[in-house]
Amino acid sequence: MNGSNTTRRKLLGLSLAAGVAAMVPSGFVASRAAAQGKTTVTLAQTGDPILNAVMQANNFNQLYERLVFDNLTVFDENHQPQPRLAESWETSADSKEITLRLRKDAKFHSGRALTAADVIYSLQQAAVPENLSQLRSLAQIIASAEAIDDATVRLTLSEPTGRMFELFELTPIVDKETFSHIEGGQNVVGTGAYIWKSYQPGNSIVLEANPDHWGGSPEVKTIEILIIRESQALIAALRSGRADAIFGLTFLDVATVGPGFNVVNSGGREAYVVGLDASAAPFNDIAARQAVAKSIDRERINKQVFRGAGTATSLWWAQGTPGWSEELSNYWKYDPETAKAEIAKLGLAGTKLPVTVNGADLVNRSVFDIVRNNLEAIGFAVEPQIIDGAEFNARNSSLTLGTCFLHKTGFGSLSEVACATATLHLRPGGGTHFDSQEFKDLIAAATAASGEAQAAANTNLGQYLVEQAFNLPSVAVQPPIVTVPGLDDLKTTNAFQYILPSSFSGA
Amino acid sequence: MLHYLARRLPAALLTIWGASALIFILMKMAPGNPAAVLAGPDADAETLKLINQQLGLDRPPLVQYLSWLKGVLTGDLGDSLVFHQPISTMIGASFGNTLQLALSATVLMCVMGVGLGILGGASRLPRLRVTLDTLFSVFLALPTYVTAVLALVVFGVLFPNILPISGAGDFSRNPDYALKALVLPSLALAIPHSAVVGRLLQSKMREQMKEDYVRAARAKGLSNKRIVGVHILKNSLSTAIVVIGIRFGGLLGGAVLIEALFARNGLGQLLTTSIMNRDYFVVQDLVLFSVCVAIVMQLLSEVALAAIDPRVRLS
Repeated sequence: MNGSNTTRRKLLGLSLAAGVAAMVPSGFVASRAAAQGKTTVTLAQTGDPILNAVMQANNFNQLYERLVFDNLTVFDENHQPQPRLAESWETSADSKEITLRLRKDAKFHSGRALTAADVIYSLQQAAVPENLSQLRSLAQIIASAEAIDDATVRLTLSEPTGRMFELFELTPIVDKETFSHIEGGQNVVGTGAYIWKSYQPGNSIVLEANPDHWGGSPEVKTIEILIIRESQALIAALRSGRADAIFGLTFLDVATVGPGFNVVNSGGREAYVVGLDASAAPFNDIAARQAVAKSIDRERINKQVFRGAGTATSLWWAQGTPGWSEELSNYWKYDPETAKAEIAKLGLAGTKLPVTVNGADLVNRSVFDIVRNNLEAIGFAVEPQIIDGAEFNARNSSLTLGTCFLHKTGFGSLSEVACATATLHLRPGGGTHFDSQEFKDLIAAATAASGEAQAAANTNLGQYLVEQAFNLPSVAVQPPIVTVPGLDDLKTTNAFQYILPSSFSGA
Repeated sequence: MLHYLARRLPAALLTIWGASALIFILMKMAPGNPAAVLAGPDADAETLKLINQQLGLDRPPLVQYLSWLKGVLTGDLGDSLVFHQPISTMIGASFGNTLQLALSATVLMCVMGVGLGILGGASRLPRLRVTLDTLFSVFLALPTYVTAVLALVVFGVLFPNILPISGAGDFSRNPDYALKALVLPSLALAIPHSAVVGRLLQSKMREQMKEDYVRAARAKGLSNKRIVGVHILKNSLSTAIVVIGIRFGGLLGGAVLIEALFARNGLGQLLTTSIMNRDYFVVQDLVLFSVCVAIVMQLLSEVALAAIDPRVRLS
């Protein structure tokens, strides 16, 4: 597509970009940690980083990834893209061409200047299956990418979409010279505010402030990320002063941390769901699925498992996302008597129901206690299948989690369509084996929609998913981060929960 | 002694090979694989297949095992499937912490176990014996996970900032902290083990008390201190030495639970992580290492036994 015959509309001009940039990147907002003169901050998480999956939304990459890598753009709380490495952009009227203008002062930690070729390479990597991006299909929409000059990239899309900024949000810009060797932890090279210094599997990651970062070098000079698997050991690390902030606790564990610490509510929500196999009895019958939808006591799950910190909901995405409505969020109401009568009417009372739960997911194990009680109350004979994390992942990938399973998704914090297409247990023909032309059409309509039409398209998609009841959200909640006083202004992305470098920067 | 060691070598090698083969079979039988761990939560079957190919896990299991065995025999422990780092480097990085913990726990176990054992075995005061019997019973009934959690509660909540409850220190940079960080995990490990050593020593000493040579020594007018300290103790230590050797060997293989609860990065932590990740070759190398250590410690115990007790011969 030729730029001269295309009507372009500037979504954000350079002048506007400079203004809003102050809201997000490092170097402008004084974090409390920096203001207190802290030069080292220690964070702790429950697992090792998955370095071969930097292109993927992955909980274990959330602490270091945005510190080491920059992305092209980042969504603000209103889901509007804000500049990072891309200073400004233009989208063609038919939404089939995007031109990005890059910062000219960004450098990789190797000292090499960022070029348009690196951006093209990074977006191409997101389309490679082995790199595990959940937005691979979105990356594959890019039909061609052209470096107009070192600081300008033009993307031509094979079909119109208003979702390309989701890809920019999720995909880190990597160094094309070293990315293929990233797995061993020796070549983790980005343009971010922190330089990856060392990594010892099972022990820790050490990051050091990048003196040449385009947003200014952070005041906190060293970040150590400890890997501590046991929740009690994680709490002990916080209490003993070994860690300044801990990630990966359940809400029940958070309640045992004790006074004097802060719980930070920031970042994307995760929706905990009950999945039902729509391809086989008894849940190939929508009436059986809808009966289960009415049997789940969402308020009790929120109160008992999440200590009231979440939201009982029938939707995977949170209030504020385009197309969210209170009516849809409260669509399924707890009504065990009706559900029990419907199950009896269907002749399913006493039916054995295997329920698969990830034993490594302590939150879902707690959710299961209540869901099991709910399902047994309406007449099912629940057979728990609590399996370990590796087996759960393998069965999830092979779409064999079974008749009923407990799972979660964080993609609702990115967008409705991302949630319905990137989440393996929700997408058409995914873990619940639910598929229909109407489902695909609604996804296509929501993908192509932009502006005001987007909310309506998302509402239609949400309405359909809720009514079909093959994937039933119970509670949506922001994962808790527990910090020592002084680090309670930790900043994260709004989609998912990536730590932002502005958490550690001074004024 | 060399002849003795040479005779034990074939059995030791057979044990090592058997353990490695068994653990490989068990790991392969376990559902899930490293590809599923690496692929994350939303990878489809096609992606999983690609990762399996990348990792070489699409090859027949026997080929994978023989390839690993060949590497080990040529001194190459291979690379971790999940972390893509040399396994020897990973083991080396974790071994220091495990060695510190094993040594300190063993020293405590010896001091507490042998001390209490001598006290119980030599004492003629019924009340002291009853008290020590009760103490041994309590110590034996306290598994390490109970003592560890108690230590975390006491020193993490009730009396914080006295002793570290998390992590390990570096002796070359901060020896004071490193030593303090060892106290609680070592105590948690040593308490039940010291009770075993103490009770064994106590029983053996009581048996020895009734032997003719003790009566003869008393008749010759030797002091009680000399009889107990030189003659009875020397003849009673055999079982305790074997137990201490076995326990030390076990601790060198990694104190899984204690390392997890006190967040010490040692071989036990590496083993559990690798099992959870289905990181086959790391697990095999660690098991191989543990079996080797156990065999060496057993041999050393027997050599020590022979050195102390002239009735024991290695031939």
